[in-house]
Amino acid sequence: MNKVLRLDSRSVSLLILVCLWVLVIAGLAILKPAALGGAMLTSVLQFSTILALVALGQSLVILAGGAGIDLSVGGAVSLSAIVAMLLLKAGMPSVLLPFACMGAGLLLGLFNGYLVTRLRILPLIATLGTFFVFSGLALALTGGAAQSGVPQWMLSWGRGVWFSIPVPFLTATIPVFVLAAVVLGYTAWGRWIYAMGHNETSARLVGIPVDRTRMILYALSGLLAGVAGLVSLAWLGSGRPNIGQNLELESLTAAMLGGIGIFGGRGGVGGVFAAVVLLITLKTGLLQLNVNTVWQVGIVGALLIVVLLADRFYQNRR
Amino acid sequence: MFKFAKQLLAATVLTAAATAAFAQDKPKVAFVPQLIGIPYFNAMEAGGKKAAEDLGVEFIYTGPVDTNPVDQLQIVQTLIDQGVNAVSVSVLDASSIAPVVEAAKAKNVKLFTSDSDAPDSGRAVYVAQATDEGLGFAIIDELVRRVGEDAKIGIVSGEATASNLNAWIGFMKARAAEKYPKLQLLEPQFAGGTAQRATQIAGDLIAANPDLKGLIAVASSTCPGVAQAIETAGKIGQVVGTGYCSPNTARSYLKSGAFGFTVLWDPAQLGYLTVWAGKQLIDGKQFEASNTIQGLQSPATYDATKGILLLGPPAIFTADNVDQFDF
Repeated sequence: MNKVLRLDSRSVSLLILVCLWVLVIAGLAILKPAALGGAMLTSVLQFSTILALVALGQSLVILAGGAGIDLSVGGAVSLSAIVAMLLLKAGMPSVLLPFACMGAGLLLGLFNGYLVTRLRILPLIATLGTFFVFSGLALALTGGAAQSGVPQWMLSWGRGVWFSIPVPFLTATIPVFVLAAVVLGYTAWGRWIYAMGHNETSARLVGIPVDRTRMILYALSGLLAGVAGLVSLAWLGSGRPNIGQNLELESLTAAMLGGIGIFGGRGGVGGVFAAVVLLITLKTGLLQLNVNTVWQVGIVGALLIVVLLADRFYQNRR
Repeated sequence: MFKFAKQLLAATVLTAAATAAFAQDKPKVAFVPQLIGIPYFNAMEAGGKKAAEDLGVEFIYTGPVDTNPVDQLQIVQTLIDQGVNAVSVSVLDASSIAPVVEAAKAKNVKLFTSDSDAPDSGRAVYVAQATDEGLGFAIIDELVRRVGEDAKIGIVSGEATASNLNAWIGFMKARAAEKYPKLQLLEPQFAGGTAQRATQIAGDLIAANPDLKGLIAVASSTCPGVAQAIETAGKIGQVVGTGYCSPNTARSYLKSGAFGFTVLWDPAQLGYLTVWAGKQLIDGKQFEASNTIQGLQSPATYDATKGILLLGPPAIFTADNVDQFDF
C-alpha cells in the first residue's frame, strides 16, 4: 500500500473539481479581472441554488443503485411550482404556499418510488414517463402562461442577499447538503444507502429494507424538486410551467461530474456541490468573456468526459 | 498547486492594473435574443451592428442556445454585472427579467425589452416591431380575403410559453370572433423550437381535417415545417399557408404556392431601432411622439402611457413583392 492510496476516490474527484474551479477563476482573473467580485459571487450562487437542490435528489437516487435515476426532476420542479400557484389562486392562504409546493414535490416523488419499487418498472423508463407526464401536465394546467401573484414576503426571501450570498442558497441549499452529508457519512441509514448501491443482494440478505429505503429516496428527490420549485417562485416572482426545463440532464451532469458512480454505491454529496458550483461558474465566466453560448454547451460536455476519464484512470491504477 | 495559484494571483493583480488604464468610453448596448443562430435574430443583430456604427456605440449580442428562460435570465444578469450601459431583451417569458430589474436600476443599467415584451416588469421601454393587435388582425384579414369567411383554419405555434406568440394568437381569435363569426379557428398546436416537429403537427392537422382551408405558422421557426407539410400532402391551392415568416424563409414557398402570403416586419430595422433606443436611454433623452431616425424607413411612434416605441405597420409579403426584400 502506498501513499497515493490514502486518498480515496471521492477526495480525488473533489480535488480535480476544486483544481478546475481555481483554473476557471484564475482564467477569468487574467482575462477579465473586473468581472470578479461580490456581484459575480451572488450571481453564481443564485443560479446554483436550484440546480444544487435538484442534483442532490438525483445523486441520492443514483447512490442507492438498482439502476436508480430520476429523469423526472425537471418536470417535478415545474409541476410543484405550478400546483402551488394554482392552489393559491383557488383561495389557499398564502402562508401555506411553501408547504403546498414541497408537498406537491413529495407526492410526485412518492409516485416515482411507487412505480419503481412496487410496480418494478425500470427507473430509467418509469421516470422518463413521469418526466413527460409532469412537464406536460404543468403546461396543460396553465396553457403555457406564467402564473403570477407570489406574495411579497416570499419575494423578499427569494431575492434577498446577505453579504453577497443569496438568502435561498443560505437557508435551503446549505442546510440540506449538510444534512445529507451527515446522514450519509455518520448514520446507519446512510450506510444502508451505500450498501444497497454497492451490492443489492447482500444488502437484502443482511436485512436492509431495500425497497422502503429506495421509496424514501425517490420521495426525497421529489421533495427537493419541490423546494427547488419554491425557490424559483420566490426568486422569479411567478410560477413558470417550464421552469424545470433541462434540469434532468443538468442535474445528471452535476452528479456524474461530482463523482457519483452511475451504478450506485460510490460518491459523496460534497463532490456534487462542487460540481454544481463549477458548472455555474464556468457558464457565468464564459458569459463574462462574451464567449458564444453555442460553445459553452460543448465545453461542459468535454469537461464531463475529461473528469470521468481522469477518475477512471485513477481507479484503474489502483 | 498553491505556488501556481499564488503566481496566478500575482498575474491577476498586474493585469487588473493594466486593464484599468484601458477604460473604454464608448457606451455599450447589449441585445439578448430568445435564441441564437436563427435568421430572424441574425438579421436583428446585423441591424443592431449597423446602428452601433452610425451612432458610435459598442454593440454586444449574446443569447441562449435553446429557448430556456433561466439561461436567458443568467445572460441578462451577467451583462448587468459586467456594467453594460443598456441591455435590451427579447423576453421568453413575461417574468424573465423581473428578478434583475432592481439590480439593473441600482447599477444604473438601462434595462428594456425589444421584440417581445414584459409589460409590468418595470422595464424602461418596449421597442415593438408592430403592435400585437396589428399583427393578429392583419393575418386574419389577409387570410379571409383568400379563403372566405367560413373557412376552417389551423394554427401552429412555437413555444407554448412565448408571450408574444400567445398574444398574436389571442388577437387572431379576437378578430375572428368580432368580424368573421363563421370562421373556424382550430385550437393552436405547439411545436417548440424545432422545424421537424412543426412539419409533423401541420401534417397531422391536414390529415385530420380534410376541409382545412388555411394554416398559420405563428413562430418563424415553424414556417418551413408548415409549408413542407402542405407541399408533401399535395394540398397546394386547397390549403393556403401563411405565417409570420421572413421573405428569405418563405420565398420558395411563396413561389410554389404553398404559402399565399406572409406578414412580418424587417428585423434588421427593429435591431437598428433597438440600439437607437438604447443610446437615447443612456443619453437620458426623451422619446418624441414621432421619431424620424436616419436609417429607418418610417418614423417610429412612441406611446408614452404604455411605454412602447413602435417600428411601424406590419408588412405583407407575397410572391409578387418578395424579391424586393433580403432578410
